[in-house]
Amino acid sequence: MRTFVYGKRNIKELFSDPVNLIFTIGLPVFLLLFMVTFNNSLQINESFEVENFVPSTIVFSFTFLTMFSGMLISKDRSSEFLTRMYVSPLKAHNYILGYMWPVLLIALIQIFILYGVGIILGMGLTIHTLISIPLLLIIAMIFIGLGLVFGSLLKDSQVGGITSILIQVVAFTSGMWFSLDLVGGVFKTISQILPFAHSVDIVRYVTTANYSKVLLSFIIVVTYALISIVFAIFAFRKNMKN
Amino acid sequence: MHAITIENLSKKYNDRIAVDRLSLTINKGELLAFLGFNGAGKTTTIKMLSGLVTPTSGDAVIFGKRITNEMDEIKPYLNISPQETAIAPNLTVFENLIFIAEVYGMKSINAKSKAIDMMTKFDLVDRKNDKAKKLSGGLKRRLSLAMALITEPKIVFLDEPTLGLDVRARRDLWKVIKELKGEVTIILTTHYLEEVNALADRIAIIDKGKLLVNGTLIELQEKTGLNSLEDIFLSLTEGDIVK
Repeated sequence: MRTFVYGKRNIKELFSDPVNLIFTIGLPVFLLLFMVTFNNSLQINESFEVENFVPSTIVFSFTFLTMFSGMLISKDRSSEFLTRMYVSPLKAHNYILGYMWPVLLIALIQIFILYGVGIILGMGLTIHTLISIPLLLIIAMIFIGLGLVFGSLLKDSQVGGITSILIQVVAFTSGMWFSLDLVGGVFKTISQILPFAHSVDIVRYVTTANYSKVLLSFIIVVTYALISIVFAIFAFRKNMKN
Repeated sequence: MHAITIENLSKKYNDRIAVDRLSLTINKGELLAFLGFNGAGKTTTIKMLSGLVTPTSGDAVIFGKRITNEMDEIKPYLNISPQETAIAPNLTVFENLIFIAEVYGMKSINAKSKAIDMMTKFDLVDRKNDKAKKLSGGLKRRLSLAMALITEPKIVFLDEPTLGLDVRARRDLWKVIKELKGEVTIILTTHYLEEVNALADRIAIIDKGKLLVNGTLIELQEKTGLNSLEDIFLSLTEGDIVK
């Protein structure tokens, strides 16, 4: 119950700022509409075909979850709101889950809206689309964990800076704007070490029923999600002790 | 009856001693003012008593429970108004109050009725639906105090509650704090000596982590032979320790 109460407050904080909504939902929707329509006319490259660009846009939109959840936690620290909370009977798991479930809910809203826009633009709606949703939520956990880590350790201005870098890293290494095979070399190797291209690949494979290719990317993404959450719990507990 | 008994409480950060073997008792319903310069150890003491910081050594007993191993049982009876206002900026005044009441386990319907009571008591009714971030500094402080009291704590820690407030807002807050005396045990830290004069039942002066003296203003005057609290405070913190 206390986790729910704490999460409800966090949802209100996150949703009451229109800037959050513009970035978490408005910008990805605009990118999706603009690039797919543009590509339909000019045939720029296959990354912008609706079946490919919807998964990459969803993964890209999760980066804003890191930014806004990180800033919320960081501001809660600097305003001593968390001090007040730490004196209360709340336990560590109430805070951590209370920050996680609202952001996971926003991730779900992003998924539904971006799939909805994708379907309007011509993407097929199949059982495979639905199967991809729980996988996307696992992917979202990577970004939610990072938000908790940044928020627990950094000032809110620093959270803004570091998540801006994350947004660029995800944009370039996920294969969102161009196929990684086109670049190759060290760039492709680094991209394959990071989880973002694998995240996009999983969704592309699943939504096109290409399940034989999913396993390796799935293992990598789940590993990153677990590491991210473990670090988040560690960072938050460290922050509580300090 | 003692609400709090502090026994040789110490906190060390690396080589720096923030609080040094502090022993003190605080009576139920009393307002104790902690006085000291910045870094004297006031806030660290409050943080140890409220479970925010673990003591390096020593202990404190709050209503029969030890802070070192029974903090979870003590926490429902405590609340704090920290140095910063510590409110949820995008929640309304009403939502902030309901939120904190529910965090302490109050049922939604009771939390709402209690929030209305607190808004009436703290003169916040006409700002009920305003977001907390839009309130003036004085009203934010008032909301912060209301959030500390809505849970009906037995002990409340007020860490520089009137910092940065204008004279009117400060006097308004003093009035509210005075009304609480007797019902709630209050531990107040402040730099404003006139605030201590106006509010405190007892005064504890702390310097470099050590408790120099504690007692009523009259007792401190008798011990030092000085009349004003400012003279008493300065003479003690300059090294003339009272025997």
